[in-house]
Amino acid sequence: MAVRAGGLTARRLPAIAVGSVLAAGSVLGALAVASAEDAERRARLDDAAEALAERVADVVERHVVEVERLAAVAPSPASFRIDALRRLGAVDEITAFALAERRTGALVVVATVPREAGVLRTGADLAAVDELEVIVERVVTEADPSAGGPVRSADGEYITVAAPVVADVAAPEAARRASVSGAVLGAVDARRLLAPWEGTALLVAPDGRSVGAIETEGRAFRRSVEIQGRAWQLLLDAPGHGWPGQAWLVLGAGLSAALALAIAFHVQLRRRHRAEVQARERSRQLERIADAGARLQQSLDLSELLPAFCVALSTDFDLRGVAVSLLDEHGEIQEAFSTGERLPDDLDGTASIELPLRRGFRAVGILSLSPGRVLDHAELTSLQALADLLAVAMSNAQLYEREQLNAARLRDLDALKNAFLGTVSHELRTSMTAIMGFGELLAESWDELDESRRREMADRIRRSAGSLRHLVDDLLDFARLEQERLRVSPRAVDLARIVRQTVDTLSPLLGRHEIALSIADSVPAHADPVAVERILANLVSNAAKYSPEGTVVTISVQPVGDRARLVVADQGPGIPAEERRRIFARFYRLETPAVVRTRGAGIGLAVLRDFADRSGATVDVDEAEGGGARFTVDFPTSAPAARDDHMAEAT
Amino acid sequence: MTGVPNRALIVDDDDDMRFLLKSIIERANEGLEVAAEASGGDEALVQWRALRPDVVVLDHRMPGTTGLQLAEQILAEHPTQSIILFSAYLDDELVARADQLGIRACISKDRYDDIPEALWRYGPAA
Repeated sequence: MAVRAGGLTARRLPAIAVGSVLAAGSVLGALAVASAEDAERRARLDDAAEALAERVADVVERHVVEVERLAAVAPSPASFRIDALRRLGAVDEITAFALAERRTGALVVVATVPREAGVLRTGADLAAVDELEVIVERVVTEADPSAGGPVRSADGEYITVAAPVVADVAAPEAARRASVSGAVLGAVDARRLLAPWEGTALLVAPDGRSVGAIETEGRAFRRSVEIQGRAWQLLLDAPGHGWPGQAWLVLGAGLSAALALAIAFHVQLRRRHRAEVQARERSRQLERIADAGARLQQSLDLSELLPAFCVALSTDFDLRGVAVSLLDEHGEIQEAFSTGERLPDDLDGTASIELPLRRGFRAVGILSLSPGRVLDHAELTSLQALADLLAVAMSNAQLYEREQLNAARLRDLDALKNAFLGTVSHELRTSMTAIMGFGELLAESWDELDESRRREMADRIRRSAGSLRHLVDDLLDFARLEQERLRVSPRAVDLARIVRQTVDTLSPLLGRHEIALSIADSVPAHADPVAVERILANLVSNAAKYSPEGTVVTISVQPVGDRARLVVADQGPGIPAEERRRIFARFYRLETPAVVRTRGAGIGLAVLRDFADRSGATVDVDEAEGGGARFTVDFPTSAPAARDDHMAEAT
Repeated sequence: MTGVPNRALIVDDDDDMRFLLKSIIERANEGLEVAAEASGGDEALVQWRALRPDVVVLDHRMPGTTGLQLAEQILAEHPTQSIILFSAYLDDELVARADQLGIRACISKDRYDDIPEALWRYGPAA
């Protein structure tokens, strides 16, 4: 689950690169926009500066012409006023005219249009106005029109244009200079003159005086303006110069877009990375599940399966402990296997986790995990899936185990059946051979055999026939009992009488054994006489077979409580306690020498048990006095409850 | 072949069978005689070592040592000993194993009449 930091950084790099490229692009874009804008603006400013320079020259020259004209045509104050008023209406930037007369070395203003126009006040000595000193001097001494010296007054700034008043304008220069009697001055509104310029402008006269203002933060333009043969300087400044707003906009938008894109890209990358991590993790979980599934398929033996599964699980999921507990047949949880350590239940967030092992809708066990760390949702899901797989595998293993047991039982049964067939064949053939062999000998060699030999052979024939008959009876009973075709019909009988009658017919089975009877006069019982005969015959035959010749077989019939008890005891080797339950099983024969030596098919006691069961009797075997076997059969003395009777009838 | 003594050892856990074989062999006479009888493997080995019979007639199905096991022991000590397996239940597997061990003949118990002839065939002249 650990995400490597390096991986994440590597993932971030493209986003950062894209963002950087966008940012750089936006800066370059802004620069390009600014540069294009700048060039355009520069060209525009150049044009404007040029136009302004031309306008300044033009306007000032034109006003010079106006004041010249006034000076020529209006020497008297009255005509000057009329002409001046007319001219003020015709020109824009001229704001005032003044007519000055030369009086004792000074130029005194004698008329102004309009009245009181700034410094050009009637009665003012122009020579005394500092700003006008130079132009007045020049006009008077050189007798030429001139422009210059901006004048600042309370209401504005003015360029002064001036023309001499001479007697004869067309006279030669020297004569004109001598005849200068006064001057006409015009005030050109410098602000209005420079108004077309958007920024600040400074007009510097040849005498160094300047009009206007300039701030140096912008880009300056310099133009030389020639007025009346003299060079003026026009200094201009483009206000607010720098990056244009559009460039800022481009830059800002570009950077924002870059940032947004970078963030979006980064978010998307992170999301994709997270999805990839999740997909990888999911695929890893699936691999684990598949691996574990395969591992679970490898064995059907729980003792192999559980350790392999638990150890692999603890390795795959980095768990500190894994344990599997199963429900036993009593519903108790029993630990079947555990590996690693078991952590205490309460270890903040790393508590042990118990997952149910589910089969259908019920839990058949618990998979206990001690992770030692916090498991995430995906891991828990995987672990539950694995628990389910384990439950299925365990179910299969248990099924397999049961099948194995069944198969083993069938094999055992098959072996028993084969042994039975072998035994039956052997018993039948041996008895038949004895009967036929002795019969043949008697028939063919009667005369050659002495009496005792003949008797002996006849006796052997009889005994073999008896044992053959008993075997055949057993086989037939067995077959009929197996097919449920033998009906046992218990009724009220005298057990003592039936046993006494049957004993007489058992002599062929008894051979050379002695028999001892202990039979009460009358023992009422609820039994089927045929079943009693077969049970007794089997018990007596058994006793005779498994106890040495010459020993005593005891038969006793007595009432015991509400039971009628038949006991057959012998003086043979007895039946080992651990074998006493099994001797009633079909085909089962003890492996003791006494048993192996005797003829028998291993069905006598099974048949006996069957008869007893159907008669409502119980059969028990224990040790007789002297170590022999003692069989006790307890018959009921009355019919059982109606329902049981009905059942017995039904069988 | 008459006149050549042919002594047999009869090994069978069933008394009737021993008695029958003995009666049949005695009736056939002609040099055949039952040297001894044994009802089990251990007893048979003792008898066999003491008497060195010409032919051993062996039942297979006996308590303790089976006929084949006894035959194996006898043949291990005396590989040319004539042995006849006389069994009530002969199947192919038993016959094959007997053949492998070196048992001369397998005779089913219902063919008890064949015993004298088999004794002559596998007796001392064989």
